Amino acid sequence: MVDIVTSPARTEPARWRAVVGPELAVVAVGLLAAIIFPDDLGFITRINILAIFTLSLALVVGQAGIGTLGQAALFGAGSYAAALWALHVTPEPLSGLLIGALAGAVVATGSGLLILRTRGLTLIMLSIAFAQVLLEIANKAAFVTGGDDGMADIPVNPIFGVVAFDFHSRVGFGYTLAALVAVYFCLRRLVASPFGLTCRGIKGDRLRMRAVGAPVFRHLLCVYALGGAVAGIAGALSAQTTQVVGLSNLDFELSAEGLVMLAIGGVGHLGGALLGVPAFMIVRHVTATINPNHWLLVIGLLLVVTVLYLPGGLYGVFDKWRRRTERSGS
Amino acid sequence: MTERLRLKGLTKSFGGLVVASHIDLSLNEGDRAALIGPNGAGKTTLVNLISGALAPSGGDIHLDGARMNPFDQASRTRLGIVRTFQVSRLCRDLTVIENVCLPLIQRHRAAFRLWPSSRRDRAIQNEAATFLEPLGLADKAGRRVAELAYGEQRLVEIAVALALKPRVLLLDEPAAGVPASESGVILDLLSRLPGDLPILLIEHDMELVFRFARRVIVLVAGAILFEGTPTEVADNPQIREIYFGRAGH
Amino acid sequence: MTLVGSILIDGTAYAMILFMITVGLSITLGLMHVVNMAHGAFAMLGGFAAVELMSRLGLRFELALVIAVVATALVSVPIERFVISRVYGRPELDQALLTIGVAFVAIALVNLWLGASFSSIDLPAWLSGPVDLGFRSFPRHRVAVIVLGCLVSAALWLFIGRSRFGVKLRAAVDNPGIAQSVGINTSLLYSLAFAIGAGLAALGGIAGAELLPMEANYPVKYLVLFLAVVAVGGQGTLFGTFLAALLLGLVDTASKYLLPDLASISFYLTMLLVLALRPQGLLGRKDVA
Repeated sequence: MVDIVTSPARTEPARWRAVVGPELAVVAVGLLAAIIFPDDLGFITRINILAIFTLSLALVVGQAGIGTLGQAALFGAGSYAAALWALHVTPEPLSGLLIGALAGAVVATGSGLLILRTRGLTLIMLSIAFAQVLLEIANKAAFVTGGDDGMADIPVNPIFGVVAFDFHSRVGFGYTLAALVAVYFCLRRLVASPFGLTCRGIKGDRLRMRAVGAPVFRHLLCVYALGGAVAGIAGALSAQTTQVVGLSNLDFELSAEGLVMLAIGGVGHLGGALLGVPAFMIVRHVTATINPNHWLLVIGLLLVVTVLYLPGGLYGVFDKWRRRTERSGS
Repeated sequence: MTERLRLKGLTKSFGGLVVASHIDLSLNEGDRAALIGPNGAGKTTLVNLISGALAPSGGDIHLDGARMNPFDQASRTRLGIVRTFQVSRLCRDLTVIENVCLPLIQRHRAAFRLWPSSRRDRAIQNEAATFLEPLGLADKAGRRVAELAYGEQRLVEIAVALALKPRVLLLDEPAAGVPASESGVILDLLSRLPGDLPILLIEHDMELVFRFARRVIVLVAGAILFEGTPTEVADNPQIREIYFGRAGH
Repeated sequence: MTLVGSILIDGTAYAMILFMITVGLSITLGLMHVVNMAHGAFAMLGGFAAVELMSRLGLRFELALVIAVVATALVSVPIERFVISRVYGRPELDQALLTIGVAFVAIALVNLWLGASFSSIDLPAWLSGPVDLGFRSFPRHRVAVIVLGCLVSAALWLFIGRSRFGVKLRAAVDNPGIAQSVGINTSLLYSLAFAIGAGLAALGGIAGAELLPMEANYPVKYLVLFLAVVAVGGQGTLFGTFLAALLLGLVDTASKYLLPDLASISFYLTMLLVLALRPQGLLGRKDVA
């Protein structure tokens, strides 16, 4: 809705750019990365998966202002659900994704009923507690989840019965990239819809939104469930591409990492997830090989600098540059 | 004249502190009423009670004959009880037009539309523009609210309220915090509001009250002390004492 | 009977340590409305400083403790003035992210300075071994921690309840705008409160080094624990933090003794239950959450 107002009438080519431009950019960058680094496809696949996870945070935290540190619960729910589906029903991957999304949405609904009436520190702590309790349950229910050891050798059939997963992660890379583009496409539209604008309104001022008649709690529950579905898809992808599921998929560390990646990329925009995740992963990979301690220092300083001086994160920087070139170009 | 809003015996107390005491009030179609009283009299509390932000300890509120008591704030807004805030509450990071689209989205029941539709969304934006034009804010539609002057923000707040097509409008000090140079626009706007809409205006600015109101209600310590025309209120010695202090000041 | 006794002693000692460490966090939250995710770093700093003072300079435990606590309090002042204060009034998310960043930097610096090993504090003779209290003997260290905790609580209660500083502090917590207009120097107040909280955290960190061992990852490892105490107790209320520390400390210790498999889940379930039923915490103010 914003696009129509802030820019004047668009010509046909420009409209096309607005409709699928960003998605094509993601495909282009992904393919480029795969061509330049053919031996690191496993790593790039992981980036794709975490990007989808961080997109769920961009929606829930960035658009609706729900400050959660327990999003891993939904990622883990999706992973375990997809793994169990593959082991006991069918290893067909696309249905596994649907199951992951469903599991994420259902668990998010449960979590949301608990946490969404609260704010601030209480919300943070409730989200953490919920995720940790879920982790402990998964730990104890070893007969289903494999407990501390997790589940391994999860079967996964060829996609559409044709494209079989290979050991070089080529198919895994393409599969997760396609999922990422599809999720991004849908979320971009969600954000531009009346629902998305209402979310941003709720993030801005809940009392104001009640005063315009918005059913705030219902709205938050809905966006949180949608975010859970996206995180669940990411979890399912993780189970399918690595064929392994463990308790770390439910852990606080994953939730915190997601938030940090989003922060660096820029909280207010979906694009923040797409910039922050590769930046975080690549910098970590590079510095960790030099000295693991330096990695913590770098990420700590990055966070401090981002909050104090670059409130829009990497996306903010990118956006400013884009506006400047647009203005000087036109 | 049909009755729109009716308060009967409305009471609110916090423990031992009574902030609203047996308030009986009715607003008819087209009423222009002002609610005045010293600080702490409970004017904003009354607005909170009517709008549903506060639950009463006793008494009833009826809108168009229907009992409002069980409904929460959001529901009452949807039914037509609309209020503005004493200190501007707009979504500062959103643009002016986005702020006006928010109530329209609620009114058109489009809040759970998860996919944009350019026909529907453009229609909403055009409608939002119609609320901004009479306020002279059409050219500022794309600006973030945080960039606007405070007086302009107060106008946007009223636009948001009007966009809800209220059955009753409660304006909580619309000119508060606005420099004198900008308050003229607000005054002008008040005179152009829909004729059949009952409006309850809370104000300290007596000039505004006299120019706007046909009825003045004086609230002191949570209870209605007096109700009458502006002239009657101005001539009343008791009220003069409350407002202007004891003789000699 | 001995089991109950052990649970009570260990649990209360643990609670005292949690209280000393987190009381500063509760004050910071209630006064400056900042969730300081790096608060555990002060406990860690105190612990490591004490270790270094004792091992490198050969100081006695008691002296090292005092110097470490004071040093941590002093070090906290520039951190508050130049970094933390930059996010006063900003959205909670920004505050959380900034302070997490500070915690990471602290961990990295400790790692670089001392290497990633566990450090233990050698307690002096009078704090080691058992002490016979007549009906049974208890570990000296635990008893000393409980006594210390009670002394600190009493001192804080007196200080904040009676002193001029305490009056200003409570005024600023209740209504910062009015406090400023009455002439209270809120910046100075914040720095002092922050420093006291940091010093107390250092004290708790040193005293609790046996229960919460010193390691570089300390601030993040126990972050959820410290935040839980503050959230469950209610922000800005000292007595609430005390109660929450007791509740969580005893529950955690009891479950470690009685149901070791369920220790972790009982902690989180307790936190979940309290916050679900009372979002503002045990003694917190209703309007805050």
